[in-house]
Amino acid sequence: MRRTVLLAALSLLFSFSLFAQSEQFKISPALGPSSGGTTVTITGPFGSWPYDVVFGEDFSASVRRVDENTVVAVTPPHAAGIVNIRLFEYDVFISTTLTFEYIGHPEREQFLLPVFTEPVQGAHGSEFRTELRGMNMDRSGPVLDVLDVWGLEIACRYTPPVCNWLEEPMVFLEPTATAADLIDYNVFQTGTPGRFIEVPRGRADDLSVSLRVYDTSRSSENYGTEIPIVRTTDFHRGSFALLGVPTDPRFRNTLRLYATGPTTVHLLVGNDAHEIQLRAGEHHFDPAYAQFTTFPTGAGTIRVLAAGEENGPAVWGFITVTNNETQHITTITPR
Amino acid sequence: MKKLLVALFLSTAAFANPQVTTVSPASATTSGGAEITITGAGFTADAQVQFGSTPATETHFVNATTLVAVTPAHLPGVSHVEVRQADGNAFHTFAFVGPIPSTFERVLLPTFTGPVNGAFGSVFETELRAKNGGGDPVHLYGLALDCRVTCIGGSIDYPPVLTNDSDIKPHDVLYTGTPAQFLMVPKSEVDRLSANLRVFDTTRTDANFGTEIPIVRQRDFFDQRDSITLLGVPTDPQFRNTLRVYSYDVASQVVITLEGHEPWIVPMQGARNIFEPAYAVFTDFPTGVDVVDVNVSLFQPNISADIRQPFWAFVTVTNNETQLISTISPQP
Repeated sequence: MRRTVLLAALSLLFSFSLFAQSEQFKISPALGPSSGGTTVTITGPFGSWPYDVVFGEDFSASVRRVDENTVVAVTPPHAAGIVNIRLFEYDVFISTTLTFEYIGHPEREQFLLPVFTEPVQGAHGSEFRTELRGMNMDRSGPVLDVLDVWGLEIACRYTPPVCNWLEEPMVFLEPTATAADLIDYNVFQTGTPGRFIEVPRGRADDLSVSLRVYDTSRSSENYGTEIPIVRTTDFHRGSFALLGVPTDPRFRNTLRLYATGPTTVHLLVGNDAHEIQLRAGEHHFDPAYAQFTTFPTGAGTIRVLAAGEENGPAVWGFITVTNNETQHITTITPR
Repeated sequence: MKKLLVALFLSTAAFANPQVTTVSPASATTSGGAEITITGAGFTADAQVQFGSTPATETHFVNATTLVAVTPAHLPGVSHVEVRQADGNAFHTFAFVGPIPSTFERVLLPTFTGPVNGAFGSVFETELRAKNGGGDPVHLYGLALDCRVTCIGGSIDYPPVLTNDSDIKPHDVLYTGTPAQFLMVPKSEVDRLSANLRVFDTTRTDANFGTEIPIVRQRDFFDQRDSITLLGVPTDPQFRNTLRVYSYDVASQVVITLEGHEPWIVPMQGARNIFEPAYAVFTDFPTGVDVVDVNVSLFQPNISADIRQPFWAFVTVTNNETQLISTISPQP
């Protein structure tokens, strides 16, 4: 009975996926970049007065009333973090339990490298390496610009060391005339295991990157597995699903969860409920992180539903499915 | 006798279904907002008008022989006007003409075919899973479900619908891509769609779980004036590489550039319907020992430079012996 109640409660939590909501109002999306400019739709019992929307202490950049139940607003810039949303009706503020998360640096665009570690020894003599490649694809304008990349630590070449990689960009990708590859830098792959990287706002389209994990002991058998690189504005403030996870004991599954801040994630793994604590990152390029490996075994596949705290930080996660004998890795990502 | 005839007439009238004789005009633009007049008989005040499964934006009952409706945004093609009321319903053909409305978003399933025989006895199958992330239903235009009992999908009128309680499982689906497939999903619904696409070798399921194939939203396609660079493509002859390029609306030529080589130009195969991407494939990669970066762009000399044709591409790297597949796709 208790398990039934818990599952019912979790199902209710998971049904509030795309819209963060209070008793009356809903907002979608509930996150966006710190630079502002995100168009959000707020639905609820609006009256006939004109409304404004206040994000933290800042009024919306623009507001448009669609109908008596819908208002569309554009977020103003704001420092990273979660802010309360109030409505301003004529001459009075109306509190809601809605929140909006501003993500990343106001002047930069942020991405997650989910796996960014030094080589890892695995079973059956395997050694998993992560390879990051990157290029500056800037072809626009009369002058081609170098692309600064924050979040990557490199060997300091100066004495005394002047590398302050937590504050300054350490990688400068020249515009592509030759392959100015990230591999040319001696980047320390010290993700725990993920890493946030950032480029100047408006330059994300100039960045082309690839992330690959491969077993050096089996490189003659397969070319490894592509790992998705994720915009943090594509994280979820609500639930997301990972479908078709095998339970065959020939495979081991690892669910890796990342968040923009410490939080608790509720999991429904098949019919089993779990709560996972994501510990805070060590610095602002280090995502809050946890992993989960206690999957049921059997036959067939299951689905995993993951939900962050209501009004908590945005979350993303994916599963690696590894064959216990061949060590081949398949990903399952939320799409 | 007269009373009997009156009784018969009344009983007939009480069970009279609506009938539609004409719809004028007989077509409208896909953007919606057109006023059409439906003439027939037996209309009642509770009549509602739909175009396939999409309600008219407005329905006005004029009298028992006339309804006026306003068309919604709709995918192009031959649809059906349906008059629904308490005592029955009636249909008439109706056509929507024009481009895909901006209220829809394309979702690309890059490989979406039935089983494919490969080398060394391999048989590659594709599996699609989909779920509604919660809330209102999600309509998946372009997806055809297996007709074991009731055939659903494949038309612009009655798409499969993902409700909160329903899942789409791999065996439910007809894999009708050539080789790829676009789903058309209303923009207001696409964020609720959770889906997973996987390719696996049925003869080697004890060795690996296959390869996840990225599902790509229209918003993540690249502008024609951009190019895509796919990094780290191996030239080792242990692997065979297949570059697949996708676009929509108009077929272009694909220009493929590797450093140190003359560009290759490959024509795209045009789309035959709105659910089929324009498509090109390239496999003529050089062999060697290095890893190369592949640049892909579109070229369309006879079209104005102002026309932006979005495209997307990725490479599958297949080990010639083990048939294990890796993907290289444009990121982030």
